Amino acid sequence: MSLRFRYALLLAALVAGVAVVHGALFLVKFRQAWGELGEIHARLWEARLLEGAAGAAEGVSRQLAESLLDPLYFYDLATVEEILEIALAHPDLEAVAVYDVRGRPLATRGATAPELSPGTRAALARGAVEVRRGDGAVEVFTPLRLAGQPLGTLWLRHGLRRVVADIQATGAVLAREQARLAAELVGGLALITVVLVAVGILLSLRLASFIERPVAELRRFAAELGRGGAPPPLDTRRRDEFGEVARALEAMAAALEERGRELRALAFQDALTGIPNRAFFRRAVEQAIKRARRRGEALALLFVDLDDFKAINDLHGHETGDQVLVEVARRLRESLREVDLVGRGVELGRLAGDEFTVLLEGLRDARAALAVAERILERLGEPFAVGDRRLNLKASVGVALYPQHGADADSLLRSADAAMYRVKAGGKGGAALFDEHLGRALERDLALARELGGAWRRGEFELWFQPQVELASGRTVAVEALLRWRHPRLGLLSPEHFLAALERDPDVLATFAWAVGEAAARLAALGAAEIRLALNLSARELAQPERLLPVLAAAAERLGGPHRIALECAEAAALTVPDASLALARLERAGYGVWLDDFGAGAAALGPLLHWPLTGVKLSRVVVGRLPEPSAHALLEAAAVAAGARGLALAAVGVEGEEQERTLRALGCDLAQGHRYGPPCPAEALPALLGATPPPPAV
Amino acid sequence: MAQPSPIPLLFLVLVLVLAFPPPASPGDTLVLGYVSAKARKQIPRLLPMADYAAAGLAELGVSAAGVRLARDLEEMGELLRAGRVDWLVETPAGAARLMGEAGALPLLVWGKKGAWSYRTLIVARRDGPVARLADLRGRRIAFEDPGSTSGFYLPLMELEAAGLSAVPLAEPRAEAPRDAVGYAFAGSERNVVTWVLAELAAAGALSDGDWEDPDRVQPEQRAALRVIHRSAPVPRALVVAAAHLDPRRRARLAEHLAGAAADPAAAPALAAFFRSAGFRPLAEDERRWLGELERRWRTLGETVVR
Repeated sequence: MSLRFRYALLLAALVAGVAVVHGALFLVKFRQAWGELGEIHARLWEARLLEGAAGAAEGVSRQLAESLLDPLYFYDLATVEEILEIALAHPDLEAVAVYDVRGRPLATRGATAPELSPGTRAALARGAVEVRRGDGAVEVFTPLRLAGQPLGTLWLRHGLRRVVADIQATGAVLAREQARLAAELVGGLALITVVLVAVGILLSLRLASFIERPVAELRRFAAELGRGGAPPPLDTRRRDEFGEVARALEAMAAALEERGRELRALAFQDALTGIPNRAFFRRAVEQAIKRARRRGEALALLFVDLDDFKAINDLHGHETGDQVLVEVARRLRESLREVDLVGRGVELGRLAGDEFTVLLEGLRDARAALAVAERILERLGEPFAVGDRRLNLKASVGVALYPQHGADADSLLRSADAAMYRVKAGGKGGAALFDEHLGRALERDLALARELGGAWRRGEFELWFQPQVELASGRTVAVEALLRWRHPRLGLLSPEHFLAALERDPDVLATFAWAVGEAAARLAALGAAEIRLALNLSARELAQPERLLPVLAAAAERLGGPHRIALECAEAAALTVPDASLALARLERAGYGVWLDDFGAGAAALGPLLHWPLTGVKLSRVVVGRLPEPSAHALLEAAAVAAGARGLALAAVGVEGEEQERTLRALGCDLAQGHRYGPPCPAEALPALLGATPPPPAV
Repeated sequence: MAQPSPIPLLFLVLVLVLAFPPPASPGDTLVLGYVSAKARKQIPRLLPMADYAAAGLAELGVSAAGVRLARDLEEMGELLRAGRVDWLVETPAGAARLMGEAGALPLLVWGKKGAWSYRTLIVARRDGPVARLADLRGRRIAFEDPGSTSGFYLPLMELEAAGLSAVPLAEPRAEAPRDAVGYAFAGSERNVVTWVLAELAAAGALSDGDWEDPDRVQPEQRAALRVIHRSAPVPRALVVAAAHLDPRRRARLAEHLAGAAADPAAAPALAAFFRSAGFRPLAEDERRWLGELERRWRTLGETVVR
């Protein structure tokens, strides 16, 4: 129930209560007062009537006495009796008598004349009229005197029957009136109560809305403030509490706005370069898309990624890397200024690390966007002077256009990202426009990413194994566990199709833990004590060694020690992890074999090779596949020299021919892996692969 | 055995005499009488004059005044004879009767309602045949009532003085004897006038006061009538003393009342007492006339039915 209705109800109940109590009290008091009034009235009325009756009796007596004087003077008793007879016709006169001077009755009518008491006689002798109020009658003794001379006494009894009847009739009328008035009062009071309650409800509703309106205004203000929108203006001129709250809210809104500005500055600006961060840029893209949609214009999004920037960090330290990033930002700004973009919206952003983005509004076509990209590449291609060093950098730029390559900010960013990756895949240092094929692949990756969630729980992952052969002996000394996804629609998928998605999957560690446990169990079941288990570590896993270590420890225990586990981390992945060398060191100290995998596919940075705690280096199939190209050979040779210098083992992947094997042998490669020695096979084939008899299935 | 001393006995007698004085004699209250049945109305008129009279006789042992009413002359006569009334006021006819019946004595002329004397008038229709008293012979005359002085005695005596004999009629329409005047009583002066105008009577007798009073004789009635005879004036009313009243007291009463008109102290009493002009002594001819009136009453006693 709203405050308003509660308030109205309360007030109405209060009014009703007061009205009812007041009415009841009034009624009680009325009855009481009326009763008293009636009693007083009856008493007064009775006294008045009795007095009147006594007065009337005296009056009758006086008149009668007057008319009796003459006949009594002459002792004309016949006339006296005649007069008494006539007097008795009076309705109230019950009895009448005349006494002589000595007090003896001379004439009597109606009843026996009473004896005159000495007191009465004395009063009569003084000429005084004596009135006696008896029960139901008034008796009057009147002296009959003529010129001061006593002639006798007149006695009469005046009945009160009619008076009493009058009194009773009056009482009955009063009682009837009281009943009628009481009924009218009850009706009137009920009506008043109903009217009061109705008025009370109306008034309280009105009063409540009077309070509710400003409250609603404040609420709207607060809600709008909470949403971050522009709250409606408040009436801060009010002099009451609402005014105070309104003023406080306004002050709060102003403070929030100020804080918001600061926070936005912090939240939307990259602290290092001072250009918008991912969140801000994304918003800028969204707004630009709205504008473009409205105007029917095109929009271009450039994804700029520095090639091999990790290597700079690794080789020269983060400080140098940061300086390079600041310079990159500056050059980007400059290059955008140089391009003729007057009057067009331009926004620059730094998504993460060495990923920069450029938003260009109002472009005519893709060529214009690519021209901007070329200009950027040109500027970034100039040597960087950091301290006393001169560094040469290249960058890859992906270009996506609105509306062709994405209808929203996220898809546009993905498209530009994908285009950039294609540049990277194609050898880096260039710019490319997103194309449809790329789009489809991207779509598939996205679909896979969506389906990947829960794939492990659905049991769609499988473990495959590929043997690693010691070149010196030709014996299989290790198996690499490989993850395969048996997709219900697409069939068996290898990691390159879903690894990116898996890396983003929150279940990635659980999947990893399952894979490690499963692989260790399979291998332990074979009892092949000398066979090592090679496991691939992704950047996500490497970044969380404290979660990784317990999983590995369980597997190591099953296999008889950490030395039987070789952890292989791709060079490119390792380079994205900030403290990759520290993590690797922890793993190595724990006794695991630590291998730098896929060396040469990306940066082929020598820094890690020289400084990181490693057991060995695995040469990428990309490099091995290029043999006997001199560049590949040179790279392998350098790697072999570096590895040899540090006493690191050397392994090669993707070995397919004898020529390759010979070259690798010559370079001092210890281990080889590839179709020459056996393709990846399902777990069920592992015993056959190792020449062992599979154990009987557990009962 | 010694003779008892008479001294204590005498002392006892003295004490008893002093302790119980003899009751006041009736003579010590001077009672004024009046003939009227309206005691309640008349007694208040009489009392002041009774007091005034008694006060005048204080030195003669009168210490109180009283009033006594009688319903008629007969009763008054009895009261006088019983010594219950000491003095009274009456018309000449009433006084004459009481003088005859109770030995009352005429004392003074009383100026009742401011008039000392009056006359009786004999009236007849102006267009009628009666112009002189003599014309009434063989005709009827209307008198007022048998107790009335001006309405009966005086006109009767005037007729007789004129040599006419008057005889009562058994009823108003009875034929008068050829040689006499027949009379009948109309009951009131107004009725007398009505009878004459209606020719029930050839003439009627009434006092000059009534004749002049338009309430009793309306102007048009008077215009239709003529006065055919006018008597000599006679006293309007008289004060009469009871026979038993001590002569000294009687004389003193006459003297006291005769001085009342000149006594300012008597004014309220006189005003209350029928607006009296006062009292004056009787002239000799008035006394004679009264004697004649008394005699006429005696002779009528047998013939007039009361």
